Amino acid sequence: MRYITKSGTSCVADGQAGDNSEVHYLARMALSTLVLATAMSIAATGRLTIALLLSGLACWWFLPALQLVTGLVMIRGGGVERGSALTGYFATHRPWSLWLLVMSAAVVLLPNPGAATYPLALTSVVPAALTIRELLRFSREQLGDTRRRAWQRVAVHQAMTFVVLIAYMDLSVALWPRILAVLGR
Amino acid sequence: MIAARTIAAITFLACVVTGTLIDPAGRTRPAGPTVLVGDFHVHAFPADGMLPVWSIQREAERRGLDVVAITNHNRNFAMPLARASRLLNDYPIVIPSQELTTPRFHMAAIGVTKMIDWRLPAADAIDAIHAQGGVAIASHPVPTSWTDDDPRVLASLDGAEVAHPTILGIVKRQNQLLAFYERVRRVNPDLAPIGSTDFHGGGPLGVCRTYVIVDEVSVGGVLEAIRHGRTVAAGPDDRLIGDPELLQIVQQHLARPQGAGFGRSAATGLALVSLLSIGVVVFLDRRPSIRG
Repeated sequence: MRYITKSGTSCVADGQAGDNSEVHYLARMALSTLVLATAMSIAATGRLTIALLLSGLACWWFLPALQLVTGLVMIRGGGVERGSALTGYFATHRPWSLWLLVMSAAVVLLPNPGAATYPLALTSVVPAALTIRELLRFSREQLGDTRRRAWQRVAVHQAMTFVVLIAYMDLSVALWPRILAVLGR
Repeated sequence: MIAARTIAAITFLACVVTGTLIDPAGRTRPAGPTVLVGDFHVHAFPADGMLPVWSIQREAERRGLDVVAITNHNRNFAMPLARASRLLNDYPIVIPSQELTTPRFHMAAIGVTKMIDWRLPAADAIDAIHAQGGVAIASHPVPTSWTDDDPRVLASLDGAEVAHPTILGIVKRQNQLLAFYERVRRVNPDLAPIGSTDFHGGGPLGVCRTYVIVDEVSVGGVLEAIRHGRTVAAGPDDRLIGDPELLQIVQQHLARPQGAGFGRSAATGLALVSLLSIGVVVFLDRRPSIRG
């Protein structure tokens, strides 16, 4: 698969020459979903079965789907064929995927994972920072953006991601009463 | 690189299949009167729980639990989803519930199907829970999540969490939970001691648990037992908290072989190999590169 970026650079996705780009980004979405299902199942039960995996896939597909939506917004105006751009975009999930797998292993291996919740959560700054770096590289190298335009694109993407994250947190942990509790202390 | 990814993918699949084959069989429903093992503070997907209710029910079987309460924060999407999936079994018992999350207190409303308004004062919230036939349990009542000392509230509580994973290694927390329990017992002698995991995933279900002495193995039987304080809180490890005569009943029950195991097993090893193999697939999945 060969395509031309806005800056005129010719790009090839590794090992994908002549392949269908739609299939490639869908495969990467599927891999992200598989990682989520595996990590959640093992962190919660310490095991992995076909039923747990299928159940995890059925539950967590919506996160890569939301990522697809933010990705479509991010690549808009990039001048690159959609499938190719999304294939590159989904590759930027690698830091988070690896972090999820490492955290899942840590939960299984630590004698008291509950006591380590906050230190483990703090390590999420690493994939968060690496993802920003990956997104900037993606914008510049694949979408052919200038440095300034790449930062703008990534800022919009991160803002959308945080809005979705906060909305989901409010739905799942009753965020507003907790904010009131903190303000009332 | 392609060969390494293929080997990793095959290893992953082999681990999943083997993990399924060694998954322990389900448990049979006991007949009452008996001692049931419960976890009354469990968060499920979709919310801040990692597992959907049907997977929690299966995990409860593996951990030797007879009853779990699904206590998501102020919203109830998990139980309707579970019912719609038709994947729930009759046993272990799953009780629809809510963790009433407010600025002043967290309270497990066990056995409610309509969500209780989080803006209600604690006393009114307990009345609303009782009106639905449920029971009210103070959730992890340490100073950061319980600031309501209204005597009317303490007198009308049905239970209080006295065993909770938050106390692991934190003596101060353990003392705070015990102090709350003792304080409420002085005005409310029937208060049920409760052990709960506050399970979200990320730690074993049922590591803290409640032994419930029931006449009948049903939701009604469990709620009735909690209402009358017929419980013993347990965990972590072998720590038991409750009335001496109830402790004796539970210790007799525990003398029989128990199915639950919290240690590492062959399944854990397979799970770790699964993580490693899918990690290899992800790591070798390179992003598109520029070629001029």
